[in-house]
Amino acid sequence: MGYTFDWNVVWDNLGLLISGAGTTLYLSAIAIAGALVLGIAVVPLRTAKLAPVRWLAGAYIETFRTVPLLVQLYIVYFALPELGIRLDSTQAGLVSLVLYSGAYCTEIFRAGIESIPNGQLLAGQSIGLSRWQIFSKIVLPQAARCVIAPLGNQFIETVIGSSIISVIGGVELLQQGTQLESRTYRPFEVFAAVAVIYLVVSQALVHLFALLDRLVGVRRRVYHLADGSLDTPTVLLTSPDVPSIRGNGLEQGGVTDG
Amino acid sequence: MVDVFSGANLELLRRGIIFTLGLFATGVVGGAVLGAVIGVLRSGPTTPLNAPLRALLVVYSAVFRGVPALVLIIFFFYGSAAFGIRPSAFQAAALALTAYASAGFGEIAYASINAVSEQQWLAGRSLGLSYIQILIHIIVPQAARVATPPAVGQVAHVLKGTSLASVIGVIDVTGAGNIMANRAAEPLYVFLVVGAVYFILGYPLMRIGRLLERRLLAGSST
Repeated sequence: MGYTFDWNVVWDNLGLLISGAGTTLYLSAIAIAGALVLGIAVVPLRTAKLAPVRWLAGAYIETFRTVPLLVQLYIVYFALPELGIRLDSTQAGLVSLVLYSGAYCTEIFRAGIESIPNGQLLAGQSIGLSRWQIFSKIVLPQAARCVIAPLGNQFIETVIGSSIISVIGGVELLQQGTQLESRTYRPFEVFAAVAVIYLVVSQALVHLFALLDRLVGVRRRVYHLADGSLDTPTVLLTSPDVPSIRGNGLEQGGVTDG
Repeated sequence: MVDVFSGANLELLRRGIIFTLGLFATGVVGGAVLGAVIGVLRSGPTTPLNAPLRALLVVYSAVFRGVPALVLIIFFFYGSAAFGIRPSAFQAAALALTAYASAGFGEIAYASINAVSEQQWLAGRSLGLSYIQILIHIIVPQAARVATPPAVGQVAHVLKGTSLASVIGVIDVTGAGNIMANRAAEPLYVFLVVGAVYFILGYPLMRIGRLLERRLLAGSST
């Protein structure tokens, strides 16, 4: 018995799927904004002088990057109510994404800051700049430019990761697809369409961030340097800039970008 | 509280770990082999002969890295009925994870081979070595060094990805956790244990990756 494809299911409901994609992007944008804030907040702790503070920040980062996002989501959604914290599926999804991506953002920021050669800090000291001046005038402008590419990757990771919100019933692209499938019994057509929409969105973002990186970024991937091995994102803006591992990215990077 | 992990539940968790490790091993081994082949096929000079294949591999890579693994798993499981194929949940998840992993490994392999200077190819050819000889004796040993840290990272990603199989009904560690949480109505306790299992499996990978990378960085500065 042959299967007759009925793509009208997709065309007739394209608006629904596209609105789902809109929600996915919207939720991802909120999540990455939260993750950036969290990352900025945790970075100083991660590099604090006080060892217990450093360990605590390290424990957060390692834990949230090692445990699958889905399990984290289950803890937030199913387990936190035991402690009296009740979130709806979208809120739970957002909280999980922020905590998960926040751990990655922290490491991206740390790598960006640490990629600035020590000589520059010494140079700053030698001309009498304060610690804050050194950070804001020397470290930050350079670090900001070399975290663009890895942050772009992280945003794409967040968009892709947000699909798990559908598992607990949160409405986004995959959930729209699942609902459409349960109405039409056309899993192949519907999920193929969902996959294509994810592909279009992620490719658009890849090119957008690559452009941004070309305009203002630094041709150096902090991601693979200071912490890279484990953070190889599933989606890379360009091919992973592996030469920088072999090259002397850490030593020369910050100086040469002028 | 303690009896959540007694008898039947403990057995469930034990079998869940076996399924998780099965998915993990399939994804890593299948993905690494396919990825290495993809990397080799995509590297070296492009000729009219291999250009179509390369274009295809670029699309393959974009698809399996740009579509969420969860969507792949669901699509492979429910969508395959259109072709009269009815894979088990485990088969569908293993296949989807392998495809997902192979795209990541392929990109790493491709970039690592590319990272080896082109002059190494030329030098090999000037010595009269064949394409295969150059690849095996000159390119791969150098590329492998570059590829190892990001590859370990990809392995850790595959481990995390296996948890998604629970969504289509595979009773892996996460799936076992779902059942236990429902049975015992102790979701917090259960999912903390589930999280701990992944942490115990994944944390050594993270340490190994970091160690390898540090060694690599130290090596390259000389």
